[in-house]
Amino acid sequence: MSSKTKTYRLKKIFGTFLWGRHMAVELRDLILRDNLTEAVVDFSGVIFVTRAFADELLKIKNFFNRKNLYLNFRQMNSEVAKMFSHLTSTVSVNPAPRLRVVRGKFNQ
Amino acid sequence: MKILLKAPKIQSLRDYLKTLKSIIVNLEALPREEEHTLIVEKVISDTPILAAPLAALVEQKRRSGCLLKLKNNGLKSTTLIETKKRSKDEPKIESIISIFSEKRPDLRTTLLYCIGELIDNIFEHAQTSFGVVAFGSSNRNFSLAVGDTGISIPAAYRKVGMAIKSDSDALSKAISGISTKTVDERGEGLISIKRIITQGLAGQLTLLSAGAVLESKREEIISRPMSIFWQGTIVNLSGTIPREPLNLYQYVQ
Repeated sequence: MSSKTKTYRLKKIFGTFLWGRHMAVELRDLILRDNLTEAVVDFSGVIFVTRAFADELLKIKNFFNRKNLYLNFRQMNSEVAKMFSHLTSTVSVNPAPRLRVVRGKFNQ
Repeated sequence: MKILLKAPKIQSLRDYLKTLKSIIVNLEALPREEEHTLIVEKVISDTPILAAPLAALVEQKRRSGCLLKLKNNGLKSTTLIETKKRSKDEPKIESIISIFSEKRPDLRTTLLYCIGELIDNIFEHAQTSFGVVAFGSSNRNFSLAVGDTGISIPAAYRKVGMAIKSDSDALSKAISGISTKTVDERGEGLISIKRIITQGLAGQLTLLSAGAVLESKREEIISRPMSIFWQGTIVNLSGTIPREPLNLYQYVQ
């Protein structure tokens, strides 16, 4: 199988501050369109990422891993790296059971 | 039409709410068809908890077709963040935190974290396309405010069917970490920020949304109805710069 790799420069796509889950989802959609085996996510010039962005991007990375598409993060500055490191050391990345709110009456 | 927005020195929550009410009343009364010039007194533009909601209201008015200009310095301390596109004010956020960049990188990280969490909350809960960040500092004190004109915290709870007794109850729930989101998407933003500000920086968090205001200082949290109604949410963080470096992640869940 031939491998196909592409680099996504986040500063060029989104700017120097990355916030919100929606930006990570937008990146995911860009990657999905390109039919790759490896995607390099380049953080050069990115000053900061919010917890929501980093959390969503890690989930997307796990999702792609299961589909044999590998995301590699590069050129993170120390603050960005600390945010990802903090998240990977806490529970949020580990799949937690989804709680579903059920409204209505329960028949006894 | 020229409108002068004035304020007395803000010495209490009551002074603040009176000034905010005056701002809301003045802006809401502006007819759309005319061009207006806002002259903002320095005490307003230099006070983040006033500048942020004013800037949010001005932006909302502009987007609804009102021709509004800001005279003199306008609201230089504020930065507009847009949810749908890259903000052209990004360099301003860098300048907000740059005063700490060299000597206190720990504070730079902390401020960025707080700004990021509050902006994420606007994107994820407020159902609006923009928010405003305002920052001010003097000597060893700083103040950071983030405001929006979205659906408000009580409305966000009601939208997902969560029971709340009142607007004050909603703010208490928000600061306690009760989220409208699912377990794997929820954040701990407000509760972490409260910890950072009240424990790490010996400061105060003030939260206004709909018809209630909440103040949190040290271990104390007081949430009560207020005399005005803010359509949206305003969060103000004020504190003192500590002499020792602050480890942000010891306060973050």
